[in-house]
Amino acid sequence: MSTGRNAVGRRWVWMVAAGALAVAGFTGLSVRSAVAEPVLPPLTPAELLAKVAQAQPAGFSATFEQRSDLGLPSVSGIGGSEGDDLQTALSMLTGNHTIRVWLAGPDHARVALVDGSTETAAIRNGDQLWLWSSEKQQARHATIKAGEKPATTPMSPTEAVQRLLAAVEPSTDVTTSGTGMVAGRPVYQLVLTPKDHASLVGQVRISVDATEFVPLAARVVADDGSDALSVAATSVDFTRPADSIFAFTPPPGAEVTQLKPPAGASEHPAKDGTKPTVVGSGWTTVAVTKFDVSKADQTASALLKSLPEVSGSWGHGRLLSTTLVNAVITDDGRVAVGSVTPERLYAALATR
Amino acid sequence: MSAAEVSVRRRRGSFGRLFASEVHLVFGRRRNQVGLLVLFGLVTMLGVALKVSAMRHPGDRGGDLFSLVAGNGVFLGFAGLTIEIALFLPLAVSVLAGDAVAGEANLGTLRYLLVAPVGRGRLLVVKACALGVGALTGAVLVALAGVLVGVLLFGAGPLITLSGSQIGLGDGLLRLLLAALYVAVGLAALGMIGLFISTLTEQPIAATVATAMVSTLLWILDAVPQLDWLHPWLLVDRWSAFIDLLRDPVFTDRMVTGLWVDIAYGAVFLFAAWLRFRVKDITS
Amino acid sequence: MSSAPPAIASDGLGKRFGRQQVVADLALDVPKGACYGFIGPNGSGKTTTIRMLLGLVRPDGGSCSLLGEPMPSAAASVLPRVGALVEGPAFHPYLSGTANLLRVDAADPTSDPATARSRVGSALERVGLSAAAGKRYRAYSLGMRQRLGIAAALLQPRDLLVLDEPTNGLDPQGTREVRHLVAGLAAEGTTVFVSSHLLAEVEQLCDHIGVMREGRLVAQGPLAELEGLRAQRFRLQTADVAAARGVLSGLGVQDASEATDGLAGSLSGVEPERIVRALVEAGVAVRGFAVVRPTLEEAFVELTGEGFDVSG
Repeated sequence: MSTGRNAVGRRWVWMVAAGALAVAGFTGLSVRSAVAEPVLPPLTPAELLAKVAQAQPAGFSATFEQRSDLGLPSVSGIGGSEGDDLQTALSMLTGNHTIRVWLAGPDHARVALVDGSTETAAIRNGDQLWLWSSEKQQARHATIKAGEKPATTPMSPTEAVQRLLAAVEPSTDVTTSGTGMVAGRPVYQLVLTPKDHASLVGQVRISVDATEFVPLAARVVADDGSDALSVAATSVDFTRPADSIFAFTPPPGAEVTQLKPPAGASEHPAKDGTKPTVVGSGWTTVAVTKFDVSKADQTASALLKSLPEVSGSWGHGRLLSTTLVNAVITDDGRVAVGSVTPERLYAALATR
Repeated sequence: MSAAEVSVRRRRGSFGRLFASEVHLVFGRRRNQVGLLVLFGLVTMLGVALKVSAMRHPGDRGGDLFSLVAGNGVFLGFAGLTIEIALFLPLAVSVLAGDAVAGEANLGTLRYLLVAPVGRGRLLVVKACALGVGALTGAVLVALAGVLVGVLLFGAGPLITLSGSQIGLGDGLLRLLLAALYVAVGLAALGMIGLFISTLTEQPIAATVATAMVSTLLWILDAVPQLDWLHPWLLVDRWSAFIDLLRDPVFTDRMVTGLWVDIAYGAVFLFAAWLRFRVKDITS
Repeated sequence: MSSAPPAIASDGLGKRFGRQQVVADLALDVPKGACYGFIGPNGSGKTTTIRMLLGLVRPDGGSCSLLGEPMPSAAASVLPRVGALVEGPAFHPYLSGTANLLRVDAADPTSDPATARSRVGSALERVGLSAAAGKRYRAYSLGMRQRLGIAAALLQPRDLLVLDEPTNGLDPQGTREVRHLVAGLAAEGTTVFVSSHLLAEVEQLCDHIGVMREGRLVAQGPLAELEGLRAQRFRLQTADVAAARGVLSGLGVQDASEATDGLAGSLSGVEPERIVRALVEAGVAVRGFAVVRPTLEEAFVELTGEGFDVSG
């Protein structure tokens, strides 16, 4: 070495500094998976649910990371160029996605799907609703009548969980299970377990912020123990976002279309006008609807042909099987979908 | 006069003097100047190609970065960074890193620096800093080339962000500068890998090729969907996240994590380079 | 001055590269103010020794010191006082001579930037490169390159100069100039350590000498002392070989052997005067008697087991 003896000390400083930097770097990487269990005042599931229901945060900005592992093939090709909404929805079911959410009161919301070098967003600013796609440079606009719940309103993961909680109460064992940290904030862990063991859903684990009582993470565990779906905040800030966040003006050059006001109810009507038949209830609900296979485009029918054939007293068809949801598409144009075993789907098809 | 009467204390500013000498050496070298020209030329080629395509299919509007260039030349800076970040910028940094220690060892100048005596740790830090300057120059040059060529071919004006909002030209240029700085940090981290490799050999070409291969391998691994569990740990995984500067408001999460990854890689490999170099027998 | 630490000292210094022991158990002792010739055939470990002394290569064993301070730990404080030329010159080919020297100067954290240009200028002048100062190193001839290397060693006033084969590649004129330069530096009081495989060079320049053979130091000391160590031989011209042999063995000279016109052998510590007197007193007809010293070269061939290139 070409440094003096008193430089030996400096050398150690160097070593320590470099080591500390490296540790800091990798800690920075893994900080989101930190496992600290904060001590929080105990709450019963009922108390926690009540607080969640009452939660009225003035607003927040958050980033959510969504992961899906349903055992589905990549669906980027499905739906073609026309079915843009369908494609967006389907693509959410595979891989990882980043979602940015801003909320301020009940009628100001912005949800943006951040993906590579594109962005798909829904922005609600009072009675104005905008849907933006940077990839198509396309803005779609609708006006919402006061008090009406539009079909395509942006729904944040938070709101989704709140809705889910209301819907599943009767059929579900709801327990609390310790505490945790999400996005650097202490959370209560709420565990929903379907009472009906025929469900493919093993558990739904929801992390609720311990001070604002807003769900920050949800994880759907399939009955085989694998994480099928998860949404978790990676950062959250409970200050009301500036109004400018919710202001949207279509940029010059973008294609602007007006959406027709949605036809009433919050449910999408089935495309051929018939409502789906529902068999069973709660977690093991099976929906049976009509689906004209001949209308499917080439990619979809090719995908359909790649699915395994199944048959029984109910008829003959193909089975789409994932960790969380099964679907049977019959040759005579029916689809049975449910978070249940294929046998339950066959039974539902048979009770026509 | 006996040398014993001469002070052997370190003089203030001696590091700056050596650093200036190093930067002068790197940028004075004809080959490196040609390399910068190549980086510039690639952006020009991209700009011309996009101009030709825009003239052939006027009304054709897509939303990806390259289509946005047709509407505003400043986007060519971002587009230039996007195409050069995968191969040409890492290659440029690899060349500099190969020269850093292996190049001096190959020429034999390393032994004269060490008996000067430069101090091995000091030399390594100077080399690392010079690599940082090289990375910065490359990234900023590409961004600058994009603005110059882009504005010349397509004109300038307010930029449309990915979120659909509009930002002023000044804001857009500032964001492009930030993007270049972000890219430079990642390239500098690759430079530290190269510096480490450079201490392992006396053949600058071997060090350059090995560093470029590491960079390419990281990009390939990052493109294999089956390895998605590995992706967050790869140096290059978030290099393209500078595009988040084009969102409104700017989305910093991925870039912040990306910077941490860069710093971690940089620190680990600079440290490894030092561990290696401090005991290396200089036999060239 | 006798209490001053040696300019270079080593103890048990050794280095092995792979399986080959390049330097073994080296105990150098270069007194302050000496001009020390470090001589040995190519591949005898001279350059590796110099690299260890300068902290470029880590010794496997033993210790060494420069100007009384341990190497390599005190490198930062010692090396600014040491100028070195190691295994030929090495510079950036696309930089000028001046730019190359400025870079070497910048690498030394103790050098004064304010005087850098003038020091570079005078170092170039001293080696006669002022005219070529602005030329790219690429365009330099072998001799110019060698001189630039020496100029780099002269950027600062030095207490010790370590010059590895300084006249390598120089034409006779250049060789003379370098020798003159080194002699001048030594005369100023700078300790000079010159390695060479050229015996004549060392003989002309140096007052101390160390001889390397296969990684070991086989002889070391003042040149005069080493010359004294050379076994002195005599040659006796006489027709009376048998009688002379008897007288010689009586004096203790045992190895006398028959030569062309008499006897030859080593003096074995007996003064030549005594031998001549004894021969004359014994009535041996002495036609001639001569004390023969072997050339330095013959002595080194004996020490190193190899011939030297004496052409230089």
